Order: sequence, then structure tokens, then C-alpha cells
Amino acid sequence: MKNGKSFILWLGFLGIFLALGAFAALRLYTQGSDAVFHADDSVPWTLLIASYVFFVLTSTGATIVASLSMVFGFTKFDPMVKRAIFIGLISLVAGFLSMGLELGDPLHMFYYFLTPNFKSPIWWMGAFYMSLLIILSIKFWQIHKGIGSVKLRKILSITALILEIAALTTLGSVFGFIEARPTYFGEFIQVYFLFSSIISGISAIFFFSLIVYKLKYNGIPESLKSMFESLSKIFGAFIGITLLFSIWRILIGLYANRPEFDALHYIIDTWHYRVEIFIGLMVPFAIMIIPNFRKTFTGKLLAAILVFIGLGIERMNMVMLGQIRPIFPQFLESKHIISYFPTFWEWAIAMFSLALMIFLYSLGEKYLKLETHDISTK
Amino acid sequence: MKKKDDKSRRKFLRYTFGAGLGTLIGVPLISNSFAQEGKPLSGDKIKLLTTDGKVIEVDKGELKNMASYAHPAIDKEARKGLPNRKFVMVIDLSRCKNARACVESCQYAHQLRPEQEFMKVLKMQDTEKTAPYWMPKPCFHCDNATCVDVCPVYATYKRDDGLVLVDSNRCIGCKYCMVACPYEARVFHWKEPFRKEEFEGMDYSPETSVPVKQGTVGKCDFCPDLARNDQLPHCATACPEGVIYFGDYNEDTVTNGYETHRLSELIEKKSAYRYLPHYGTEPNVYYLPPVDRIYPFEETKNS
Repeated sequence: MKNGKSFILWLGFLGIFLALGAFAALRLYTQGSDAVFHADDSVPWTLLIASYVFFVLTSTGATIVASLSMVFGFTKFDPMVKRAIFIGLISLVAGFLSMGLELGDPLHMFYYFLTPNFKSPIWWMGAFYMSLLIILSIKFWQIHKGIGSVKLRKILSITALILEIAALTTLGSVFGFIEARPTYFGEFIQVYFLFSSIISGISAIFFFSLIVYKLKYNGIPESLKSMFESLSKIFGAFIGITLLFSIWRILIGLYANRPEFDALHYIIDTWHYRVEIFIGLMVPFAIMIIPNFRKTFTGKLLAAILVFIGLGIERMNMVMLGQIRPIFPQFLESKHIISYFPTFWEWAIAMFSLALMIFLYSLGEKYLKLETHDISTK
Repeated sequence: MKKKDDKSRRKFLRYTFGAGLGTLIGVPLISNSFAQEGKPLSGDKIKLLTTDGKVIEVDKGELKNMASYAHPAIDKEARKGLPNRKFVMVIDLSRCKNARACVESCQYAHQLRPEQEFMKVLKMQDTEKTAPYWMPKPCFHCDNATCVDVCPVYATYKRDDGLVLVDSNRCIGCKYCMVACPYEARVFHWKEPFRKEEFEGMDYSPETSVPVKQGTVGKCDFCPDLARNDQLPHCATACPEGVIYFGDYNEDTVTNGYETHRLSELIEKKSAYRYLPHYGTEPNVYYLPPVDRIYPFEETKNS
């Protein structure tokens, strides 16, 4: 990216996806929801909810990893803190974009502040994530400008960590509280979100930083190899835990006799579920536990990309799992599985969010010195 | 206990023309001098009762749907509900033969598209060995409504009279209520409103759910604008078999327009039940089981 021309070309390439996404959004507001969405009352939550979940969990994961240094004092991870917080910020913005376009009438959003329903998990989730956006922005600005006392930074970091945990577990409760849809797995999903959020965050940190290091230094700088090795081990451990959760989720579903779990029986036979488990978790786990693979640049980057893609698919599978089987028992049609596949325009908006995240990252890498090593928290 | 013609307990029967006709012909149709322009005659004749007591025959093609809206409350008043009332519905499954008059009259009154149904008629079967039956399914207006709890902006709310309504002027369209409702009672307005020009200029009220707003959620509202004027909901009026009873829990009375019963006696003597009670939602719709059926189960042309 030293070359200004190739940087412009890169932004132009991302611009194609941004333009397509913007066009999809324009379609949504000029022609209505059915011009973009699958438009079926049986499956009211579409790919955009999955996209929102993916991005906001990536955000919280990346910033939880940043807290290893800023809250728990592991100075080894200092060099990736600024980048991790920036990834947390832009991922959150990408998630808000997906959610904003999922809403049927976003112009009514001011009622979120005027008439809040404190019993609603979605209200709390929104409150936590919006607060997180503000706190992370302040934290990033402090690091970028090198301002603020150590004590203030510590307080902000601890507050951010609490908000991160609160936000992602509340997001889990948005699904988990739905008693009628047991395939959202109740309280299980909240713990699952915590672990999968961490690997989502690390995969994003790996993906962006490794590509930057390759372009700038043709590999990971010697001074950072130890940090990446430690982070890889953490990555591997949490991929393993997430895999364990996924396996138990399947076993619980297969063991249960409840008709609602027909959806799980159906989904484990699909190609996208196999990609999620085998390509998105098992292969990266193998790469991370075998030292000869883990220590290579390619091994780390490949694991990061596979987890990133695998989790993208997992979020869609998870959102669909609760919806593809009608929940009304005795209703003869309820024995059928509803077929859902995102429309082209749903994909366009999900790619809009991804392209926006990469676009913002590219700008941040060029103009915001994300490689700052000294974060002065000690 | 039937209490035919018990005027004092049948305030709901004061809904005049529409109810009588609806009971006779199945949908709230009004034949008019007034046939729909350009609509071809079908050749099918139908008998109607006129206001002066004469029975006349008209062609089906000359019928026109006439949804009435009885001065609904708007804004804050629509959130309060009717004092000292608690509305309840009883659905007699032994009578339903999937005529779908309830579905169609509801669709007409609520400006729904043909594929949208606030009232659904489901083909049910309790076990493989038992006979299937038709089950009209409105919103259950639960006392512990999940949809009310999950709505982030209180667009969905519970009124003092037990009704759960949606304020489309406030709904952000997050669809959480649709996913959370264990009865799948909600409908999203994905497309441009149907018959838009007919509702232009009309004030929106959560009591009528019209004019429909695209991008928001809708559902069966028990037609509170009609209840406000002592009239039955459109579905109850339209049903040719008297399947749907509507009434007041506090008065312990329900009626389908030509029979009035004590709610408590119906519940006790006919073993009325509520659907999926284990969710603890406390629905305000009771079902009378599909026993001693008037008609054997038949697949209809509508199924």
C-alpha cells in the first residue's frame, strides 16, 4: 500500500461492493422490503441479522483481546492493541449498517430513546453496543493522540471490557430468551457467543495485520513473532472450545426428541453446516495445534481466513436454525422445513458491511498509524 | 347455557346490518345497487336479507365488501383501552369447516394483501390416529405477552382491556416480536400496502391497524374500534357457522351473534382449553375441542 496508485485501485475495488450495497439500500427505501428480502413471515430474520451478529461479535472479540494488555497487563500484546480497538470500532460500524438496513422503519428509531422498553433484550443490547462505540472511540482517540492519564485509560479499559461482555451476552439473550424456539439453545448460546466472539476477533486481527505485514515487511517482523505465537495458541485454544460447544450442540439436538429439533437434523445435512464445522473450525484447529503449521505465516493467515468465513456461515446457520421449522405444534405444515436462501440483494448488503469494514480499515492503516507499539497503559 | 335473545346480556348484538347479513352469507358483504364496477356476473346466486326483512337473490358478482370502522381511538386513548373490560374469544373447533370467511373479512377490513392473514385457518391433527380438524388462529392477546416484553420501543403494548395492539407509527420493524411469539401470530408488511388509494387520508389508529404502513409489523387486533361500539369483530360477524364467539371476561359472557353463553360454563362444560399453556403466556383465546362435530372433516377447495 506504499504505492498510492495501487491504494486508490484497491479502494476502487472496494467501491464496487460499496456501490452495489448502496444500490441495494436505495432499492430497499424506494421499492420496499420485498424488493430486497426473502420476504417470508415464517423467516422474518434474514441474512442481515446474521451479518449484524457476525460483525458485532467480531468487534467485541477483537476488543476483549485488546484488554489482555490494557486490563490484565500482558504487555506482550501492546503492539496489537491500537489495531484491535480500531478493528473493534469499524466492525461495530459494519454491524450497525447491517442492522440499520434490516429494520423495516429505521426512521422510527428515535422512539428507542423516547419510549424505551427496559424489559426488551434488544433495547439493552443496543444500549450496550452504542455505549461501547462511544467508549471505544474515546479509547482509540486517546491512544492515537497519546493523551489522557494512565488511570483514566485503565478505567475506560475496564468499563469497555464490562460493556463488551454485557453486550455480547445480551445479544445471546436476544436469541436465548425465545422460549418457543429451543434451537436457539437458551443460556447455552450466550456462553457460546463469548468463545466464538473471541476467535472471531482474533481471526480479524490476524487477517488484517498479517496482510499488512506481508505487504510492508514481507512477513511478520521478528520483534512481533513471539506475540503472534502466543496469540496463535490462544486462538487455537478458543477454536477448540468453540468446536466443543458446536459438537455438544449437535449432540443435544440429535439426542432430544422434541420436534423442534427437526431443524437441526435438517441443517447438519447441509453443505453450509459442514463448511462451518469442518472448514471453519476443525481445519483451523488442526493448523493451530500442530506447531509446524501454526508457526508459519501461511498457517496463521489460512486459519484466520477459514475461521472468518466459517463464522460468517455459522451466524447464518444459527439465525436460521431457530426459524426454518414452524413452531406451532399439531399444525400439519409444521412438519415441513422452510427453505430459505438469501436473495442477491441480501448478499449485496452483507457484502456492503464487509466492504465498508475493509474500506475503513484500509484508510485507518494508511492514515492512523495502527502499528503504534507504545500504548502507555502501565 | 344458551340464552337466546337475552337482550340485556347481548350488547354485542346491536351491530345491526352487518352482523345479520354476515351470519347469513358468510362474509360481511353488502349487496348493493351498488355492484362493483366492471366486475363480471358469476352466475352464482346468493340469498340476502334486506333491512326491511325481505329475502332477495343476487349474483355473487354484484357483492361488494364493506368494511366498517367505528370511530377508533387514536394516540394516547388507543393505548388505554376500554374501562372495566377484558376481551376474550372462544373458538368452537367442532363447527369450523374452513369456509375462510373469517380470513377474508379480516383481510378486507385490515387492508391486507391476499397472501397476508391476521386470522389463519390451520389444518391440525393431534395424533396420527385422530381425525384432522380446522383451527382458526387469531392473535391470542396473551396476558403475559412475549411480544410486549421484547418490543424495544413499546410499539406493541397491552391495554387495560386485555388487548395487545401494535402502533405502526412507532414500530421500527425489527421483527423481534414475530420471532418471539410462540403462536406465530404476526405478519410483516413487506410490500406496498394493498388498496392504498382507498385508505388515503384516513387517520391511522392501532385500533383498526389501517392504513397499513410498509416496513412494520401487524397482527389480529380483535377489532377494538368495533368493540368500542358494542359490535363483534369482523371475523366473528363473517363466520357462517358461528365458530367464533367474542365477549367480556369480566361479564362472563361471549356471543357469536346468535348464541350467547356464559364463558365460565363453556369452559367447564365443553372442556375449553387454551393453546400451549406451558409457555405461561395466559392467552385470551379459548378453544372448544373438535368433538361432536357438525361436519365431518373435509378437505375444502380453500385448503
